[in-house]
Amino acid sequence: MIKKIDISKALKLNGVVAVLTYNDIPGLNGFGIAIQDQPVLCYDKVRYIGDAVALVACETKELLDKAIDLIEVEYEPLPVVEDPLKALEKDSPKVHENGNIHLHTKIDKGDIEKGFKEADLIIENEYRTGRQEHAYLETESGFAFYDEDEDLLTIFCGGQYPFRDQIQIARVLAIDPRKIRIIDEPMGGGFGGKDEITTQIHLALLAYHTKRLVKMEIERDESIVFSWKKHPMILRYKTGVKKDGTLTSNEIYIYADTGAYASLGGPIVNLAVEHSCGPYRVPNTHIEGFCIYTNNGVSGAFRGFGVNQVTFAMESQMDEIAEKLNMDPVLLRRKNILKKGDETGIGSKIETSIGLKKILDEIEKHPLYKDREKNKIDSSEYKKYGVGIAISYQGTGLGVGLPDYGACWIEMRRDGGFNVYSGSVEIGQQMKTTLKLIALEALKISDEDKVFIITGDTSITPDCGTTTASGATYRSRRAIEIASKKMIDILKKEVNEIFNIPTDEIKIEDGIFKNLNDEKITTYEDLAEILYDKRRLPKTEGHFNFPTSKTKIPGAFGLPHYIFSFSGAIALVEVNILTGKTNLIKAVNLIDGGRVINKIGFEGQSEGGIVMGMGYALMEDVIIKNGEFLVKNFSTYLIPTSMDSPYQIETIPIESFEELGPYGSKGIGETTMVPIAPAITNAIFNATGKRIKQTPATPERVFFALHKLPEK
Amino acid sequence: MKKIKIDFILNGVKITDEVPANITLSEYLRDYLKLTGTKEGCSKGECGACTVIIDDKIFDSCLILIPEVDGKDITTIEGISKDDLTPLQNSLIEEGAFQCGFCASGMVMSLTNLLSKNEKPSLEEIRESISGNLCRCTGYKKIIDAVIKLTKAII
Amino acid sequence: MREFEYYKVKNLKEAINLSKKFGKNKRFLAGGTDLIVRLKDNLIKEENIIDIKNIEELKGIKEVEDEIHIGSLVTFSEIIESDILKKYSPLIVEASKKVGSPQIRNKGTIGGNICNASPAGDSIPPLFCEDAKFFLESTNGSRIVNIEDFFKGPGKTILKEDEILVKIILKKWKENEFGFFNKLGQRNALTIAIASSCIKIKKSDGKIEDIKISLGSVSPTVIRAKKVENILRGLKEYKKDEIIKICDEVKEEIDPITDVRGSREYRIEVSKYLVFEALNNLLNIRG
Ligand SMILES: Cc1cc2nc3c(=O)[nH]c(=O)nc-3n(C[C@H](O)[C@H](O)[C@H](O)COP(=O)(O)OP(=O)(O)OC[C@H]3O[C@@H](n4cnc5c(N)ncnc54)[C@H](O)[C@@H]3O)c2cc1C
Ligand code: FES
Ligand code: FES
Repeated sequence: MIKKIDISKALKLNGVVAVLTYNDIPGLNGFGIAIQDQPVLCYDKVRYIGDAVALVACETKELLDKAIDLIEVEYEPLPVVEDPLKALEKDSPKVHENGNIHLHTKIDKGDIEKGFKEADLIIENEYRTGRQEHAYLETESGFAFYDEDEDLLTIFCGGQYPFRDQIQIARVLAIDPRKIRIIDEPMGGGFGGKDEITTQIHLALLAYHTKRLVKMEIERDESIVFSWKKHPMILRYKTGVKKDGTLTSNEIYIYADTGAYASLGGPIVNLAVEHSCGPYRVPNTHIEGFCIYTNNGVSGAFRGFGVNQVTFAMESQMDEIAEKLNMDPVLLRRKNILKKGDETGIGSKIETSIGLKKILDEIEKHPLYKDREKNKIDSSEYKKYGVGIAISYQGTGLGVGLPDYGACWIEMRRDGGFNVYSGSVEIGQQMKTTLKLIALEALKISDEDKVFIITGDTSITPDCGTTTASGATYRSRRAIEIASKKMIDILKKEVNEIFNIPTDEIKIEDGIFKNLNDEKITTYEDLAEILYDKRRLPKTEGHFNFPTSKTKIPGAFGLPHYIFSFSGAIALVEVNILTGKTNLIKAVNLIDGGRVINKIGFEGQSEGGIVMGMGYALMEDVIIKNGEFLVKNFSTYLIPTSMDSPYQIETIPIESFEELGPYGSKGIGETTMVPIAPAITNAIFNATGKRIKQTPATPERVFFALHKLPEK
Repeated sequence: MKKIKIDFILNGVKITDEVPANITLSEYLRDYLKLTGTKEGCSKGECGACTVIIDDKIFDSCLILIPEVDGKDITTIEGISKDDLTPLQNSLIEEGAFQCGFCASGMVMSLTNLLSKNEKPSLEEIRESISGNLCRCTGYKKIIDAVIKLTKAII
Repeated sequence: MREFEYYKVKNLKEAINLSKKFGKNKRFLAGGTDLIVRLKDNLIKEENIIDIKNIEELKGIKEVEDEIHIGSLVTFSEIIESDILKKYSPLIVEASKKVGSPQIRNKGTIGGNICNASPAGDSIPPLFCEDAKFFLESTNGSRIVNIEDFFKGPGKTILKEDEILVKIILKKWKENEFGFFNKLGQRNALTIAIASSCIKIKKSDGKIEDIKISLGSVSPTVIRAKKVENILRGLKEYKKDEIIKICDEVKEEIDPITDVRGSREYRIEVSKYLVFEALNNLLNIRG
């Protein structure tokens, strides 16, 4: 609780340009993608250690520490809400006035009791997952300036959705969003972590107040403390299954620690609920998801968006079922996988393409899986090897009821090339390369220099939705395709007028217009020259609404999804049974993301996803005790190095054709990572006979699961 | 605080300056010389984004106090080649070795240094040489493959 | 980074005279991989930094009869590349390979690792197994101390205010000596030990004639597990269960803490297996 903020001493320090507090906020003192419950600058309460209380601008970086030391804030300590389960209790202290439950989603399908009665085996477990940090290598930073003549505020910053940043800033400054220009690139990694506002509002406030160029850099120690994490979840699963492997019933409770503010906690928990039964047919389900406030930092969007956690739980359940039923894990999955027209765990029908069967076929014939017993024979006495598999699915796009669209402008240049403006941003996923490949194909040319992609600037590109939910490529792709088609139509019409050839007798091959006899009529270059002289270089627009499901799930905003990507993983691990240290030796990622457009980018996403998934499985966790971060830099928050990451990584694309997209492609950014962690923990089980129910599977956790050397 | 005189070679050019002792080489490169090719990801020696070559060895420039560079010969990413990209850089691009690219300059420095000492490094030697360079986007595989392709090493 | 005065000294004499002048209010800068991080974290109160990197007397690895002298400024990379050490003292080479990253090994020095006195300092367990001696110099002259008398606690040593570590003195290995260094970290590079163990064995006629065992990160300083050593000394038969039981005695000799890398309980339990694993690499242990 804030009793007093005194900035007078800091203001007197030579070289201090401005010290701002909540008093200096002209508009709404709040931000957040879903609800604006996070103060820009705290006024009554500080709810986590990364909350901002005052903003300081100095002439030099060196002065900042001194100035900050001179700001006096008097606090009255409040009790810390640490354990999400305790936070649910009636007498728990409240993080927000309305209580500690941000969202509670409950879904029933069929009759679980009946399902459990039909079951021959019931498996009940509690799982816990770690607090993963995005650890993008570039921390949040940016600069801003205010142009008084133009009355325009410009902010350069690495973000994922410039148009939403623009609105969030406008609300805080209480100015017209059109007076704000956001340039959101380039950026050193995002993974969802830069979807929420990072430095943008603070930069804008300072630039607006000081009328000067302001620069802000978040240091690593600050970044880990203030920024959003993957939700740690407690997952209680009770699964019923028949002797022959048919799943009958699933009772699931998901408790997600969203930390001090909501951010995207609600949609994330809903996505977890939606995917909690895995890509399987489960006739009877009862699923409850809780999104719970605590004082543990903040959680938010992160690659996987709630699906990592539930997949870890469900795939561990499946592995245990296979073991208890003495059934091949692939066969068990085969029995239950979703087919087109089936209902998911929340009762919505899957009507789009499904590559699951193909994924299982590939797993089954892959030597790493097929010869897994051979791998075990190679085990030395104190190093045990094991192979594990997991499969998963991930809805792409934001889901029902959420604005989800793509837009694109294309203009022909005088040199016969094209400028393509897209609102998606490059966040390190090779978006621009992919968009370029799409545009080249759609515009029927091959010369890469002829297409120039322009992204991430609110003043010159169209709004294209957020670059998240693996759907950005998909959305932009569709928009480009539509705009390109319009462009081609216009160009053909022009050729028709100029050369007097019917449009349906004109075809285009690599920038050359030809007639039916394959004779050249003209080229893009020559046509552009003619059109330029006539001042008629064409411009087109493409707009696309992301397809969403026609059904809605009552009480579950955003559910269900319409298009899903599917993936599977095989992992070979080595467990040192003397110390518990586990290494991932080989990994295979099988991904159904529809047609592969950018092969290198696709493999890159897959390989990065494997290694990030491995970090999640084995080492990554931001430990917070009593509201304090015990892990806050790269010496204690460990991500895999080149010595931890397996070189033997294989990516197998499973191309199930998605007819909804002209290029038959779906999103993959997230789904590449999701099955990795359970494949690894299942492999640990295969190696040691011990199941790890809490990630990360640190040496210590694995060691205590093994307890002591097996008696001989 | 007294300012310190420093005299060193940077990318083949002699530099003489007077600076406060409490800044690091990475800060000096980025803030004073505006050579922003050298990145800072952690400022504590944990990520290697700030890697530079000094007298034929690699160092984290965030862990070098500026007076320590006196008399040294320093190469940063800006000095790795004169006009064109090096064969290593081209190979990295061809492989699509990077995604966001934030780790790239540090990786290039470490690998350039490796190749200057060892024309045909083994897989283990390549992995080892970048073990102080974190990359969050890729799985390191394509970075390693770019070196393997370039050196035609047999793995 | 906070402000300080920086001094570069050219020789040992200058260094100790200057440090005498500043008394407590100074720090030596060797590789700086500990010091600069601490300066950035605002953990250093001293206002004077004395850069000792140009002092010739602190450099180089030399053979002196049956001894090896390692200058305190010798970096981990120099240790790893040293033919003398590879031949006559391979444990320190193995341990140095496990330090941080190539960048850190190029800058960090063995002297800095010792004077920093972290129980997790990777060069220290091998030096315990080697019965290393430290050559120190101050305005009062020089002295040689045994490694066992040097460390007083985490970050604490017997170094006097104006005293500097000049070199480390090791005995060359004999033919029938073997050793193993075992570091357990959360990952495979750039990692501080959760726990580590180091063993040096002298064998004759298939019997353990002499053995030295040291452990890192499981007590306020690196320690020797002398009880376990005593039981193992003279042993001829290497039966797994028996040896594990002996290794279990290590629990009596350590006093670890809980931190983000591992709990006290884990460190206690895993220590015996780290010792066992090292032994397993050196002896022909049968099930
Ligand atoms: C990213 C990173 C990873 C690391 N990984 C490891 C690791 O895996 N294992 C490990 O053991 N350490 C590790 N360290 C710690 C550090 O690198 C080592 O302790 C190193 O040996 C310190 O040596 P230095 O020369 O850099 O010491 P400095 O920082 O220069 O000095 C350390 C302390 O010792 C004093 N000192 C130095 N030399 C002398 C001398 N000759 N006489 C008297 N006092 C002296 C200094 O005043 C200072 O207080 C790591 C550090 C970083 C930043
Ligand atoms: S910034 Fe220097 S190592 Fe990370
Ligand atoms: S490519 Fe992004 S950190 Fe390496």
